[in-house]
Amino acid sequence: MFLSDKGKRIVFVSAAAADVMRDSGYGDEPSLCRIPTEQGFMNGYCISPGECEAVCEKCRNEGFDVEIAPCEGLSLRWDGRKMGFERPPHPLQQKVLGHVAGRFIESAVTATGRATFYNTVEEQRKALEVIHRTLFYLDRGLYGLLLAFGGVTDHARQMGVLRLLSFPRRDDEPSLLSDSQEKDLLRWMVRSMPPQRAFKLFEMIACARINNRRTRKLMLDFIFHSPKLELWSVRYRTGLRRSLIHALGRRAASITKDILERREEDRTDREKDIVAGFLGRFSGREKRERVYECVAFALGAEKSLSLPLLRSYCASRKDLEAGMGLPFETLEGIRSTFHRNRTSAEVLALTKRLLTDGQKLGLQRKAAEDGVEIAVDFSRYSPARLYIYAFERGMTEEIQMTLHDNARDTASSIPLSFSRTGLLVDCSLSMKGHRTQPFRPIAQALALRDVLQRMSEDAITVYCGGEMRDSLIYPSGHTSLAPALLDLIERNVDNVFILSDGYENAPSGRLGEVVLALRRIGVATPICQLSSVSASESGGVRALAPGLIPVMAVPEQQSIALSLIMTIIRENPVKALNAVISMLPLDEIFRTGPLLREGAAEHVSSPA
Amino acid sequence: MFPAPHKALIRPRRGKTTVSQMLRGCEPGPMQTSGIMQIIPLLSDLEDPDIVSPVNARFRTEAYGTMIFDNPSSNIMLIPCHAGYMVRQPAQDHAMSHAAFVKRESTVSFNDAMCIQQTQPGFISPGSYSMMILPFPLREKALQMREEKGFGKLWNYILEFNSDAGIEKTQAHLEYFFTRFEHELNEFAAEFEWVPRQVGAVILTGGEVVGVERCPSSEYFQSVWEPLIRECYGSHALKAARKETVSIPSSRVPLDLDSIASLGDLRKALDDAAAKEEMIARGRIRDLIEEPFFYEEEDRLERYSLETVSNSQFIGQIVRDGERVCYLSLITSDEWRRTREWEAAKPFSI
Repeated sequence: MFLSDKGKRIVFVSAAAADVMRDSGYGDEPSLCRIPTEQGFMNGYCISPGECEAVCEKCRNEGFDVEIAPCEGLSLRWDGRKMGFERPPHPLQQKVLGHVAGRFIESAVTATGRATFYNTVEEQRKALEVIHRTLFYLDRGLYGLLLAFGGVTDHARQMGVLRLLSFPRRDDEPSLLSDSQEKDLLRWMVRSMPPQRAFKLFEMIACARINNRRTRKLMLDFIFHSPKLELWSVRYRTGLRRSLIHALGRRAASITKDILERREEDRTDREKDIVAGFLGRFSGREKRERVYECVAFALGAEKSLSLPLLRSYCASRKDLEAGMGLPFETLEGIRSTFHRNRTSAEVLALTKRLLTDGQKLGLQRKAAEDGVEIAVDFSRYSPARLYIYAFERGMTEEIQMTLHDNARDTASSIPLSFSRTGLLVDCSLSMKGHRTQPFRPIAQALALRDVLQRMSEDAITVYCGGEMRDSLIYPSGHTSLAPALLDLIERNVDNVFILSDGYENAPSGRLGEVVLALRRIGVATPICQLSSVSASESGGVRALAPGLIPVMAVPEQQSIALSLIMTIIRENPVKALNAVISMLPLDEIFRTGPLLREGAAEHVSSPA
Repeated sequence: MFPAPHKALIRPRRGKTTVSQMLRGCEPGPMQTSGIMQIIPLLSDLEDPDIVSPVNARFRTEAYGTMIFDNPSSNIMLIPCHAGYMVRQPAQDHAMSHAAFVKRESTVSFNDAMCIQQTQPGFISPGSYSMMILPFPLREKALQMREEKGFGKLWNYILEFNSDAGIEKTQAHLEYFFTRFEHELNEFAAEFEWVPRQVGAVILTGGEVVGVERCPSSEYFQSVWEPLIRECYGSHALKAARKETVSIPSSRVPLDLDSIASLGDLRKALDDAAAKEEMIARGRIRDLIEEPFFYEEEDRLERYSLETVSNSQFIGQIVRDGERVCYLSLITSDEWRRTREWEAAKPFSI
């Protein structure tokens, strides 16, 4: 059925009827999508069947155009590689698909779940919920596939997995994917997340009280089959414990802990069967014992440990040096509780060989303060991360070289090039981003600038605002993009990319006026806005000149290919979506076999 | 902990001053416009780093109408005029009725503060909270009642303020307004940006000056930027825009698209519009600068004095170090705005 959530109908009403819709109680919810028609813009709303006729009648009486999308399903088909329509769709359905999928991709590649310079976490969450819900009800399979796209943020993926697990598949529900394909996809998505994000997802699952069989299998499979389970047991002990308790059930977890606390030879056959019933059967004694010990440790057992990291963890409470093999933050936590007279610098010195790439970069300032030298290989970091590092710690020749090489490699991997490109980089204060993630928008814009410069035979770059210090442009000042755009046009560029968060204030709307004037005097130079910042009020990225220049979300420089696909998604959704799907690692996703091959496969018991 | 100094102990200094004196050392920056609100940044290199903002200070309440500030720094803390706290705690939100000093490394309590939630019991626990500044329409009332006792002195005006915004509740809770218009205010505040060297701003709605703000340093101003733009003036602009009492200001000069036939014309139109806007901005400030103000000293700490200033158009408070004005917060008075409306109305004719 081509219906939105809870059986609501999708109705398109002239944009001018916004007041009538507000009076009818549909003003506060953002409209489903906004589509251009010959009569002007129309807004799509999800309206409950009982109210549908009355609202439509009211709008018609006021002289506004109303169109109701047909109830028939979209009938998307999927041959394992490409999607298409089973039968020619209604034009409105195609437009809805293009807009909904376009808006979803825009939000999914930019959303981080954190506050931006302008929007709170709650606003971001609400805006994302609406976007996710809309595509999910159109086709849950397509929703899942798009979540697997490489540029999608972990936050969007967490929301997606949670949604797919929360709502069991119904027979009449439209979905490109079969049940088993959806399971494969879910497993792939969880495995592709960094462990801390996966445990965060499991916490979200526990909070939402989702503990159906599919969810429990997914969680236990992820935990038991990780080669890093021992490391996770010390590093994410709390997250692991919560996940196990949720997946096994409180009673089963308690029984498991009690049994596993004893040596294997002290367990009775009956107890062994109970544990196998809860945790599943494993191929090989060594693996089974490793998993059992980690599970027992995560659940709180600390007797008769044999795995080195777990032993170090317990021993380091008495002797800090014994924790040499532990991760930095784990040992630092132990130091702050059990060794208050020891310094953080000592912990850093003990663990410096084991720091992750992210920690090595993040701890540079602390290391310098504490006189500890930590070697960093800059080539292992994303360009945006390096720019943020440079903003905080200063630009060096080595970083500059790495950024240069990175941009060159990325540009050469994209099968597109430009002749004479104009780049307008917004460096006003708002590009500094929110205090929780300072410099992220400007760092991403600069990383993108580097790639676009290398994709062009001749690139002219102009900056709006900002202060140049130590080869870096720091965001500051107001936003006046219009004169800079005119500068570029006067220099005969073939196309213009504006890298901006979409906020203009000197004065607001001036850029739109200039674009309008350019079009009226016959200047047809393509102008496109690329934004790395998600804005909740616009349900995606904020447009500088809505309706006049396209705006695309580019959270990372690698996503530029996606951005170019996004230019066609609203007009030709199937072509664009197939292009996105062609970039997915389908073989990797669907070649993972049955959901659980061993371990918790057959005997996942119901939680108490 | 020290109580705030008693007014009777201060021998008030009275006199006259002008905006040109109060804004000495400042120059206007490029005007920022969004919708009906405009901001002319005031830029200056004159700074007084000895005065710090309470933005990171610890704050608490211990009785209704009593606000307690803890100044751990070795500088003087200046609480901006009508600073308030709305917290996510089962506790009564509070706001100050005037600006105030907190001595270096001291804790000071002010018992003339106002409760801004009529029916919420509880006290705010010690901590650092994000500060707000009372909405523009309430500030004049709050300042006029600064010497009155009674924690509920602003309730009637909050009711009026909410009702004016279409919030028909019988309890005077200021947070009703901010909850109802949270999204709009965030979006609105997002449109404006602090610029380097900015120590103050002239704020206009519908092309008319509604407030003038100046702070001791650019760092101080940055700390009060969001409360000023979002809660104080943003709420006023939002209400005005909803009621359509003011239109897009004449000081926002649109491009004359019909006169543009080439890139050269477009460049000229752009430059002309920018020049006109700058001229208008300077004109708006020029209109104010020689208006005389009466001032009356309210408080004194070391070499700084806190004074209340007023004339027919403005009312507000300033902080002076001798003749040098470090802080200024002026808002247009209700009466002046009503007079302007009358003067702007068309004469009767048939």
